[in-house]
Amino acid sequence: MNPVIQLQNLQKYYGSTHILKGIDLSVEAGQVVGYIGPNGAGKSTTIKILIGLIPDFVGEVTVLGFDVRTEPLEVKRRIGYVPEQAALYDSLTPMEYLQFIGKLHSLDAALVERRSMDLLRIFNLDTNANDRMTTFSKGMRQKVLLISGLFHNPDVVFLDEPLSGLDANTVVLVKEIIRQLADSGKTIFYSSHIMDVVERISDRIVIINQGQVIANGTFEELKHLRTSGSLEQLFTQLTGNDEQATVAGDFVKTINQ
Amino acid sequence: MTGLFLLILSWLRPLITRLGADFEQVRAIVALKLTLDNRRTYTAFGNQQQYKQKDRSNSFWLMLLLYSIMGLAGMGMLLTMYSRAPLFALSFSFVLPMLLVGMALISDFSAVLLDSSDNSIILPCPVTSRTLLVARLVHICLYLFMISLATSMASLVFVGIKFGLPMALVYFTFTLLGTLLVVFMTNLLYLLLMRFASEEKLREVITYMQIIVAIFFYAGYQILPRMIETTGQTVTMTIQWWHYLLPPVWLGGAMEAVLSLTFDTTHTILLLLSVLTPFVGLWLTVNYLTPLYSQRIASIDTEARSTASAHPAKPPTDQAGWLARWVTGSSVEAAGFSLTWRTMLRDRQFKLRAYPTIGYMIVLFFMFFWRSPSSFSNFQSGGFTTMLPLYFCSLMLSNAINLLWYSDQHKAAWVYAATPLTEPGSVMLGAVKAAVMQFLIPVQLIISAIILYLVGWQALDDVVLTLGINLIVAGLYAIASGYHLPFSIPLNQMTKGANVARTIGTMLLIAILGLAHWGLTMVPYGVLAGIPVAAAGVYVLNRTIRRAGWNRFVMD
Repeated sequence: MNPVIQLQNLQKYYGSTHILKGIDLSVEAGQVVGYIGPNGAGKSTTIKILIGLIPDFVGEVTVLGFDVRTEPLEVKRRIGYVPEQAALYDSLTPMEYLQFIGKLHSLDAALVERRSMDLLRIFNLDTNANDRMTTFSKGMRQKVLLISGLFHNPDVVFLDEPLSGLDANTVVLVKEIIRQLADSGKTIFYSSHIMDVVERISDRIVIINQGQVIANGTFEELKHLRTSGSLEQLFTQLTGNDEQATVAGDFVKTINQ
Repeated sequence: MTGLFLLILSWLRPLITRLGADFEQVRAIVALKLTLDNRRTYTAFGNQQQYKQKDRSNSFWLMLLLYSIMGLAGMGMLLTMYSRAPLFALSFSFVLPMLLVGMALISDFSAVLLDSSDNSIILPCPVTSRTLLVARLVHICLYLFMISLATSMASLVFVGIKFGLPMALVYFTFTLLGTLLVVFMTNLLYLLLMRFASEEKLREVITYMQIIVAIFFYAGYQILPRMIETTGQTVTMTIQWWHYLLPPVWLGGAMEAVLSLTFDTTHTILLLLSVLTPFVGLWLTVNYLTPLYSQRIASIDTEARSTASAHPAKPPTDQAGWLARWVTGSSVEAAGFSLTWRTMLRDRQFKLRAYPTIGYMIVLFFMFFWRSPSSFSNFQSGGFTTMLPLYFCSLMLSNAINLLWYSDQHKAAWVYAATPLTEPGSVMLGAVKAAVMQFLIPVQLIISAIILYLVGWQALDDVVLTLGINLIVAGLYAIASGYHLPFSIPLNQMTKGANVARTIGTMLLIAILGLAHWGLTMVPYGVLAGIPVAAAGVYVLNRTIRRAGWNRFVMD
């Protein structure tokens, strides 16, 4: 079976800065891949390349068999993307926003309307369907973004930090959605900072640091790399930041001076 | 108004499809942009209308009215000159709309074309970059067509009455072609820049380019009246080779060809130029430069990120802190000053909007030397006209002050609310002072020095009074535009195309105060007496802003 996502020696420069230094990765259908790494490691850049936003990179990248450089439109038709927090037009109402995204996907207007309303109702947002989103909380916005990234029934879903800034109930909801989407055969590729969630719902965990993959496998496999109990401990060890306790101590000491 | 725009858009369907864009997607994006434009919240008058869900069309119609009043100049030229120099009169009537469209374009265009704020919303959908580019061009063109149409309304009526409705329609068509021409020339320039400038340099290059384009438009405006030679009663205009470089002359020639049905070589060339160039521009844009657009648009705002460096960076030289100690009275005011001073020098969005005006300034200034050979000799003799260039400094400043309150990082303004800040007025005063120090004082000093050199020390009182009046204009302008804290309002709440209108308002204010100055020159020791009055005015405004309490400021 062909891999759904395939990256071969992916490299990316911003000016003279080498952001990605040769990423090799292949993802099978129905997997949940947690893509983690410290800030500035290149997570968002990788996702933007995968969804066809950034065409000038080095290496080969295919999604569902389509080359993202030459056939970005074919890729974009078949994937869903849930961007980082707050990336929506908040002076629109959820309905207006979803209708707009639906038009860009060339979906049938009646279908968009019906499905949006159904999905909003499931998320308990049906009473807010015609309110402007300026007053919405992060959790409500994230629900709208989830609908807009998924209502065209994509085969692969990319989520960039889908859990940041959400309250505990919404985290549980998003987590469940990711799990059940994968069970229904879809492939999920998401980046996150919340380690215990990544640990629990990912079939595969990929850790990148300074533009390179430093760990790739199931949580069980990763545990053998170092003697550590949780993904969080493993992460700080692998990315070379295991002096956090000392740093915190110095910080508090200086404030109290 | 959105409905009207969308109706116009539906007529353009064949053209948009021919360009290789998806019409439904273009329509969706344009409709979205228009809705967003309408829903910008109302902060222009700093009052409680913040979330009033009011259609903003009113201010847009008002602006159009202003443009159509300016357009009367074009009709005046047709009225007085058409019988004697038809080509000149027609060309001039096209200059005005093209000039105003050009100005609106360079102050808003790069912001719209290179907008990266919705990259993560629109680009992940199956939308080609061509569709996005076409949608953005259509969005801005709709506004520009309205401006262009408003400006040429008076000329259009004149042509309609004098030559009949069909000719008015022809004139209308040429007006639209003229707008398209300006749009595509600017567009071509931008996209060529994207082609040749490296990613890091692009931002700066575009800023400088805007200045050059501004100079170019103004220079064109200045050159045209020089085309005619007035010899006694007869006015003649002979076509020179360089006239072919001036697009308004193309349109003027084309219009004359149709009106008088003369199709000699000159007129045919001009007619062909005006009909073909907009479409050549369109074709070039879409076929050669769109692929570049798609590459650059995604990376335009991604800074080459600096990772933590190994050695501690040495702090930059602290000119802001040094100046702040000089011109500000309290530490809160100094904080407002330093923040504004640094941001004005570093923020791309600010520079993109503020610097093009410097271009106008330079041109307006030289206009005074060029206008007629006699004006230079006026300088030797002194007198009030000598002071006029100094008053133009105010225009640049008022534009900068207006920009002070807007930022795409407006959310950072939470610090004003979260800290125990009791004197928001001081922060605002510091910000205004920073703008004065950066946008008024250097130019004012240089021009003052030139004037003192040319005229001699007897002009000193005038020069000092001018400085006082410019400071009063700055203070009044700051208060009139509402009490705000620096960089605390979202960029998208700026009214599109209102800059030109605002500049004209400032010009009026300067004119009134300048008239007062001129009146004083008539009275012995009048100017000397005016200086303390102006100083008192500056002091009062200074105090008014400083003492403004929280009740005057509106925060989200």
